Amino acid sequence: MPSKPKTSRRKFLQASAGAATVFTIVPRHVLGGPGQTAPSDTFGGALIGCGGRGGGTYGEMCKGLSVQQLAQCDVKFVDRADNKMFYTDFRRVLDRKDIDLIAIATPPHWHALISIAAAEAGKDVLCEKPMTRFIAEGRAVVAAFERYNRIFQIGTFGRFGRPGAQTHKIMASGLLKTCEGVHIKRGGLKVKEWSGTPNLSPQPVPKNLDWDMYCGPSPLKPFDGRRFGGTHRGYWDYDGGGLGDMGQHAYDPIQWTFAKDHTSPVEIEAHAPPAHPEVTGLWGWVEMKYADGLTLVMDSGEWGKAYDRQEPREVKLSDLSVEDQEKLKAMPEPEPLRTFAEAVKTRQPAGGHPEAAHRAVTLLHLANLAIRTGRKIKYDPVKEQVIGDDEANRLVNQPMRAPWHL
Amino acid sequence: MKPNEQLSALIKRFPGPSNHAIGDDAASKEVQSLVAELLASGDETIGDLVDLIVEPANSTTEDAKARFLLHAAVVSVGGPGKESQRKQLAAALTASLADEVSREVAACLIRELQWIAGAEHATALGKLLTDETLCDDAARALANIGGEAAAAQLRERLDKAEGKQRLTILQHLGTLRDRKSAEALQTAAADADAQVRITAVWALANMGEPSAVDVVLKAADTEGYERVQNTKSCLLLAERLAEGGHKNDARKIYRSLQETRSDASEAYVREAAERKLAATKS
Repeated sequence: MPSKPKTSRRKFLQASAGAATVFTIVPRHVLGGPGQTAPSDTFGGALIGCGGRGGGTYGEMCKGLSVQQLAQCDVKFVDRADNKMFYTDFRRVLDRKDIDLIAIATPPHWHALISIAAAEAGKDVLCEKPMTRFIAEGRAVVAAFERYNRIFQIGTFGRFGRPGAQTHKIMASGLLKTCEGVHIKRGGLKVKEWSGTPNLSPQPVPKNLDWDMYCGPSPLKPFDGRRFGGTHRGYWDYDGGGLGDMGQHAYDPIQWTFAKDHTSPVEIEAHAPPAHPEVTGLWGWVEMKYADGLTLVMDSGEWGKAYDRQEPREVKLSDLSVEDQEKLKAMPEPEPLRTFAEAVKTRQPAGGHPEAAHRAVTLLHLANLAIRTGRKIKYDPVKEQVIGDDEANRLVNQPMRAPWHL
Repeated sequence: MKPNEQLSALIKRFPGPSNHAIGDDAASKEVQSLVAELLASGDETIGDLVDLIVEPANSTTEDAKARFLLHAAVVSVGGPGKESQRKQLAAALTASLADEVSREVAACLIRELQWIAGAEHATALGKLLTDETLCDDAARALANIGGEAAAAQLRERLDKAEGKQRLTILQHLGTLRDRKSAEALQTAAADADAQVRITAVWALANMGEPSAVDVVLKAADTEGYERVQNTKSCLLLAERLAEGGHKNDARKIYRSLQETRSDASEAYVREAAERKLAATKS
């Protein structure tokens, strides 16, 4: 790597004062690269998706870092976009070389595409949950961040407390060949709250909204306010109902506890009424089994009889032989997870890295697959394909509306 | 009972408009019974069901229930071991598309066909690629079908397509990794429209087309968003080539990026190329 002459931020700004009338954060790549320390460790930040979660997501991205917000982007900024601070098109934001960090708080149908585009533009990302709208998106995000060695953190942080650390250690050790653990989560999934309203009538598009851009990769359907602004959660085109909203919060820590960041269940069954084609609706429970026998259950408590096939069962030290218990004692404890800030500074993966986030959100997508098809799903966690059910597989990787694609 | 009376009875019994009305197991099983009755009733009744579906602006309870019942039937026949039922229902929906239905109703039918259409329905869907409103839905249904039957329909209409329809067709040829369209895509890689160029270059990269190396590299020698996207396509093409055993072609791409991404702002691209280059040598 050729060395660059060190230039102070002040001299640079003086030199460019005639050309620039806007205060400019000198891009980090100008002043420092690997092995060099920038005079300022201030990052250029941007928020894409400035609705209800925007401020919170941006704040999470900034924790532990010095960040100056240089751009805000939202499809409802048609009346205020100046392509300097306010944008409607995220591609213009990603074009900017003075922006290093992207917080994404759009509806979920945009999460994967914008995350990937950000990595392609050399940015690090903190993205709201759910990470994706369908399974293949997650794999594409993993591939993009690996390709460009960028940092990604999903916007849920329960795993950072390292819940169930002993269980994690047992499960991660490889010593437990058959797992009899059964974890049941009851309630808290906002199923009815985020059910959609079907059969909407077309409404005029608000003047400040770029509806085509909002729809993006999803079908261009007539505008209705309920497809937008929080209640979008109730429409398969944009999200996955209550599971989409709460599921990654609930199951990401559980996935860490059981050391399943690199695999997925192999059998998924739902107890639910027939699903509507357009809107998310009620469901009862979903049972998911991993290849090693671990069972995770989502029991909404909002439809039908409660799950009663199995009782909860913890993974215990006594599940191991005495000999294996001794081996476990000699193994290191789980390491602390890296925050986004630590990951950005060290260029090592964050605790909520793409593979982990993808596997966690896959739990929700598999659950919704079982709910939407009404069938027991058999899943190959290596190929990431449903086995023997072409119709279900069409939901694993869904073609997008041009020009958007994975 | 006459078909329309039979259908009326089914609709009356069907809960709706959302699944909130399906309150328990018994109601859920009732819906499954209604679906079975619908499928057993034959193509004429299915056609009559489609006739109940109206434009969203004019939606009624009957329309809402008809849509839900139709979808429940589609999901039911999409499962394993129901091939003949799937074909029957998909054929009935395809036949309805050929009738004079409004575009909104046609869109509803195509979205159901996205679940269950097979190669035998590709021709009917292909005809809709020239319709500005229906092109996107039809193309996505073809992408779900996959294979030569779907790709042939896209290829056949590429030359005459314009604007968004042309872009849609190019993209889904890329999605299907249709090597037979490589020549047309290489032409489109030099189009006057930037998005067409970006899409065509990506499509060539996604299919791992060895003859496209120089085209893709040249396309990446530009500025702004197009440079970033076409650089991505360079890396994607190299990965596909390496997977396909064309390691020398892959290395050519990586070396080119290594040499041309000298600005500090593109260090991450250069580093990506260097990592991948090292991996192809090991």
